[in-house]
Amino acid sequence: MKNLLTTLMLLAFTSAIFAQANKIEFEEYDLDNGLHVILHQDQSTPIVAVTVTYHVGSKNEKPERTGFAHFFEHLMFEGTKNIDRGEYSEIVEKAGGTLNANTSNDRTHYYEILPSNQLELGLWLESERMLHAKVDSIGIATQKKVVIEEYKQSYENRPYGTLLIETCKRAYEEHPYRWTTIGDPEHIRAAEDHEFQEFYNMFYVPNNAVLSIAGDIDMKETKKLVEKYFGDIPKGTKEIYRPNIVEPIKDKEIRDTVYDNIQLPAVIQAYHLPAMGTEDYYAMDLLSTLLSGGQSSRLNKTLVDEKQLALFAASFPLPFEDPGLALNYTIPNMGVDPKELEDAMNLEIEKVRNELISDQELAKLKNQIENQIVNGNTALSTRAYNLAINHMYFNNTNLVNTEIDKYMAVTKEDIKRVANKYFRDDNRVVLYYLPKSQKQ
Amino acid sequence: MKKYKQIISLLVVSLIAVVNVSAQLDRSIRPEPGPAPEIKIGEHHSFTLDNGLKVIVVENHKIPVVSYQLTVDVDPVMENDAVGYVSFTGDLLRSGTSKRSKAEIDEQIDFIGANLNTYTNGIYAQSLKKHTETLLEIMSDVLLNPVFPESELEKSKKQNISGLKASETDPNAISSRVAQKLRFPNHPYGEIETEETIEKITREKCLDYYNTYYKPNVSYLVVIGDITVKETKKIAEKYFGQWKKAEVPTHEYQFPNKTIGTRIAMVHKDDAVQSVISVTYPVNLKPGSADAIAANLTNEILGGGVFSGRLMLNLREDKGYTYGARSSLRTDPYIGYFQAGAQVGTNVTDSAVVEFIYEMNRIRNEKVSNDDISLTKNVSTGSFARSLERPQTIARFALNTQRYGLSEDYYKTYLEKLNAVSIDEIQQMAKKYITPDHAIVLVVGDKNKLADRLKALDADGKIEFYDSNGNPVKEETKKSIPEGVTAQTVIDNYIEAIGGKENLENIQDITIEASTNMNGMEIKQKTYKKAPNKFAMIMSMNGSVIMQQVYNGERAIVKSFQGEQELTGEDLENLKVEAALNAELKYDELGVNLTLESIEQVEGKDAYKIKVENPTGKTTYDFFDVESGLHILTKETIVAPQGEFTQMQAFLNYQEVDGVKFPFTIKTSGVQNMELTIESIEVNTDLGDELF
Repeated sequence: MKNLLTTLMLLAFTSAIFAQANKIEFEEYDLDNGLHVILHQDQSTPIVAVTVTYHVGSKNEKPERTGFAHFFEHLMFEGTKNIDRGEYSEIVEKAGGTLNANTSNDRTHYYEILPSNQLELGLWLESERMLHAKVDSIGIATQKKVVIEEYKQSYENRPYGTLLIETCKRAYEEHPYRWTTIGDPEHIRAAEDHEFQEFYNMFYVPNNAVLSIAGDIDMKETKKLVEKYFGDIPKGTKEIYRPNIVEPIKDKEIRDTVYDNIQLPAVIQAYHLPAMGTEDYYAMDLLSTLLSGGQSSRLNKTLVDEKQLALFAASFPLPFEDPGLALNYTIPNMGVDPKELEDAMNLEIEKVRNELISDQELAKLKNQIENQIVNGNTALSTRAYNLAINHMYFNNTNLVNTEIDKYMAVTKEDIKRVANKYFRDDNRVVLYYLPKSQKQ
Repeated sequence: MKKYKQIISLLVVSLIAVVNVSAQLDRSIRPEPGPAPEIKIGEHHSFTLDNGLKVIVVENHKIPVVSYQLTVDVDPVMENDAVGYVSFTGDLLRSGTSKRSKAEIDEQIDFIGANLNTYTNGIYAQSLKKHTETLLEIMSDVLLNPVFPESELEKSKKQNISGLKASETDPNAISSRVAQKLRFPNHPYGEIETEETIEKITREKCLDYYNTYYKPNVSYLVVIGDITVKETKKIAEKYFGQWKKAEVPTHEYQFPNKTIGTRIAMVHKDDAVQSVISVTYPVNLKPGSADAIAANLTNEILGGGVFSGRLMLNLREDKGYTYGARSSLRTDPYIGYFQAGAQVGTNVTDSAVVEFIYEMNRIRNEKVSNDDISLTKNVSTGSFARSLERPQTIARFALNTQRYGLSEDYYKTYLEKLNAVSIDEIQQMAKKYITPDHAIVLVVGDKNKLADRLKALDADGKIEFYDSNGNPVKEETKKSIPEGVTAQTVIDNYIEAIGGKENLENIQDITIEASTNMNGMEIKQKTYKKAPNKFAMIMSMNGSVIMQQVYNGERAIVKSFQGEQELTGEDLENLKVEAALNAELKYDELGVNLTLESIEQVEGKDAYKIKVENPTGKTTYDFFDVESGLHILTKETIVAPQGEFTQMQAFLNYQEVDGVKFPFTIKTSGVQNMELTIESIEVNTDLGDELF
């Protein structure tokens, strides 16, 4: 049961980690080839985070070639013209550093955290990746196996692992958010080597990337090194594919059941949302916190503690660049009919639609968000990341310092208004996850 | 014209210049690191309140957050028959005080957007600076006035027992619990929680532990964040100053005797396809002791690192026995320990144990290479440096320095000491702390396949057997099946024991009413069976049906609130066998294959183990009591994404109904745990076909 809860908690990440009370100072500029560079100096520890974020995620994929962006995240560890296969990670570890990468629907993010005297090594590694990564048949074949195995382990065989896949597939008809980052393993299997090379040539170019460096750096020296390793990387020659697809407005509830290898069912509601960064998004984020932030939140208090219908309840918006989803999901206690639980969830939704929340509750929400935002920027690597995506999504790097104001501006009336605007039956997908044994 | 030429030549020149600039960078050359940066460890300050509470402050003004960590630093105690009460005492601090209910604590903590956790001998609290006094007020209330409400204790017991049950069949959990018990005999570290010990925890025990040990003069308060020493002094006095000091009992324990020769211990897991291996023993290695740094480096070379440890290179990269093999060497003020382990396939278990022992001996007997040591030093230096980003690390260093009486510059000179470790020292440490000849090798796996092969690796050739709670299991001399006994005679004997063929054949239909309890809710189950193979089951809760299954001999339908589903394929085929009335009389006809495998112990009694294979290949094991002839247990191995599980059904409390004996209690354990109590059984009531 503990494992199951952790899996769910992992899904329940929140998005509101952009700002902080003490101002984050930074410098930013573009290289001639279009690479956007952000530098943030913090000399309290002699380490440096070198990060590169490419503005390519699963939404930039072709519908018949899903999973490419995530596949590249794997491929980019295969080596480069000057780095042998399997050597990339080893070089970082030997230098006393650590590294990783991750892919979302909107971007792919790579980072190394190194002792500060290894800054140049980090820049060399990332410039190798951008200029001439190994996109060859051996690497592609190896990573095809790994990614297909990952699909089995992390999605198919993990309880509730397909939750986002199943939800998004039903929530979107047009927009590429209808598939998730892992994509369809068949697409990866079927893809030919030249397709991967074309993807690399289109998206892994300086004019589609942000290089964000944070830590114990000398600003002048760092700028010189950045120019040295990235200055002569040629600008991309192809037009970068950015889908301009607007998901049609919904007017009908979608309801379905998924059978999975689980012991306990789950009830998921997904409501269409405005894009991240809009006023309504901030209000919806607070509304989610009202429902499930902390032990005294509404869903936890009513469904888990008082009525004991649910073992677990969570609510959160998906932090997508284009209009995303707000998810409410719960796991019923043993022996509780999921329908009874859903009715109880709906009562709570009704309540936020019909009644203004109290001043006390609003103050609580803002205190919770504030704590979250302040604590969300402590590690250098997350600061580098937050700076990068605020530039990438909103062309406003400084949002890292001002986003808190957007939350503070939300009123009780806003929360009621967005509850009515988005928490509508005809604007949602309702999914029941049931144990496979019940299918029989 | 001339002008044009000039422009062109300028262009050419500048083009060449550009080309030259880029040509200067030879990308095949890896940049060398700059001079090693000075690694500075943040400052800390400490002071002691009049009541003896030691306070450590690490100022960090980067963000307006302050955290408080309170640690009650007392000797571990033997909890004996109520293992778990010390951790319960910690957990329950937060569930009610003389001033606040649990709900009020939740509400107030959420209101200021803070965190407050309590656990074994400690509390952690964190909030924005501006809410710090509100937080401290609640934290000190929780620390000074807890009431340990009976209802919360009961809730907590239930959760802990469910947690144990859930992991009962998990071989990794079994391995770590049993290893703990074997490693630390007669020491609090060797005590493990079981359902029985948790049941014995009482409010009085928690209260008594709290009243005896939670005292300021044995505690540390670590304060980190946007706060000055002066402010800390004020608030520490205000919120913790009234905490009363008192003498706290101390305890001493003997260091466990050294194991002589390699000991092989096994926990049997029926039909396991994988084994969990754990090579382990206690070590006397205290934090901050002269050996600690070099000994840890030695372990890193043996079994640390992401992919670079020797165990990983040998067992994963070279032999492909496992996905991961690692080792750890833990320092501890009382007893530390060494542990190396991996999960491997059953058929390579003995070979894998051999490789563990080989690598442990190799690092003792051969000097490590320059490359080995420098790579490991680099990795350790890097992770030490990165850890300093977190103020919590500075606080931990300060706390360790005080707690373990380390020299003030221990952490300041940590990297110097690390880098000074020589190849010879590594070997000395290996000889002292890597001791396969004094190790316990615990294998959780199938003893029937492994015991003989592992015997050769044991110093005295005798394997010790334990149950999943680490209690010794009597060494079974495998009983041989008596002459003349076959699967068929066992079944015949069973039929005789429950009332004989004739009485069984008289039965035309059966109605069984049963009930079970799930999370405090009663579930009723009504089952109908009718000759030759009709079957129906209805489950209800509070009078409403939650699930219904019917099988009329041809079609099987499951109805739930989600609608109807029809069973097909293997599930339907299996049901054909399971639904047959008096299946035991007609195994042949049903195409069921029986094999008498062995005599094994079930709850202390000898039982015949029969492998039952359905035509679909579905296999279960039925156990029949040698003495009474009754069917007492069915075991089934279920392969789920999380791993392998053994599902067991125990049949107890046989009672006679119309000349035939039926079990009136059925206990299910494994993936699901529940006890089904039969309330009534009626036979031959002329059940109508419409039921099915």
